[in-house]
Amino acid sequence: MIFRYKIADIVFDADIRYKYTYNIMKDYLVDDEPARFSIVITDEDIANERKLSPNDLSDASYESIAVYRKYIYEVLDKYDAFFFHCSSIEVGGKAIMFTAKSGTGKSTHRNLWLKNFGDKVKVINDDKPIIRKIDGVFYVYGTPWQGKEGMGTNTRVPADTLCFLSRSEKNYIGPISTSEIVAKALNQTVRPKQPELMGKLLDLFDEFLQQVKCYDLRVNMDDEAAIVAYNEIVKE
Amino acid sequence: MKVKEGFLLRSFGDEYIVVAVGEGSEDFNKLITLNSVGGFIFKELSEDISRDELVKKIVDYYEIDRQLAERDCDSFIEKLKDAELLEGC
Repeated sequence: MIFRYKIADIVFDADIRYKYTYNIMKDYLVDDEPARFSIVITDEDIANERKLSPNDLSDASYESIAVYRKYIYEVLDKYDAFFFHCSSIEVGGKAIMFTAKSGTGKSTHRNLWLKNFGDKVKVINDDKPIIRKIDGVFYVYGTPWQGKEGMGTNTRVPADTLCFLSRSEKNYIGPISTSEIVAKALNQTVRPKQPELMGKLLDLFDEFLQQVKCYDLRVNMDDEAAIVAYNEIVKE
Repeated sequence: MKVKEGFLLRSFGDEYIVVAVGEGSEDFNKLITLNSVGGFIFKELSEDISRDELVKKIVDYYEIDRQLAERDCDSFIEKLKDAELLEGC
């Protein structure tokens, strides 16, 4: 069946068949705005996701990932929007992103922020937000793909801070050099095969990484980890 | 020798990044980071060029002595060869 969605302020139609996909996307349904493009998920798309995936998930899960993949290819070129693998929160109207490869503990660290500063923190998206540039400003958008704990909000918040997260016994936050962040950041997105699209993505990333404040954040799993990070990032 | 088709060089501040595009990106999904000399040599290698011509270009551009340019150039070419990014060498 075909449904109409708005993600990152971009309206599109998606032809999907699984209830699972419908359910995770239902906060993003719209009906009164014109669609910019259409996505159709085929058996081949689902098989392709299964091939790419390190896990053995249901066809329904793969359908929902296939929607995301098709969406991000559509929006990169025309809408200056891209996928960035991170856990993102809003504090005082600004978006703070924690990025790292899977299994490092992005959600665990985000949880410490909620535990210690819960009244000030809102989760934008815990796994796969969209970053979009509008009139020169980068925004972090919530999406239906919210990670294992399903935390997120249909919202947009100006991108402010990007933390490159790693595990460590002692908590530490400090500056990080361009040479370190570019490769790390580019490993946390899907890189298109077409040279023109790749060029476009690199241009956007260059601007994005210059606009946000970047930190090297090394954390353990104690409350102090969030406090050390908060004191540097939020209290200025 | 020259760099194979399907690699894109892009500068980020003083650093350069090389990414694979097209069909090659399925086999090569790593990123290569280069400093400014590496970026300079990589750019020159987008067209067919000999090792000696390359050394001369480095000497002219960076105004360094030939010995140093040869050393930098050779070690960089070795790295590109190891990563199987060069053809015609």
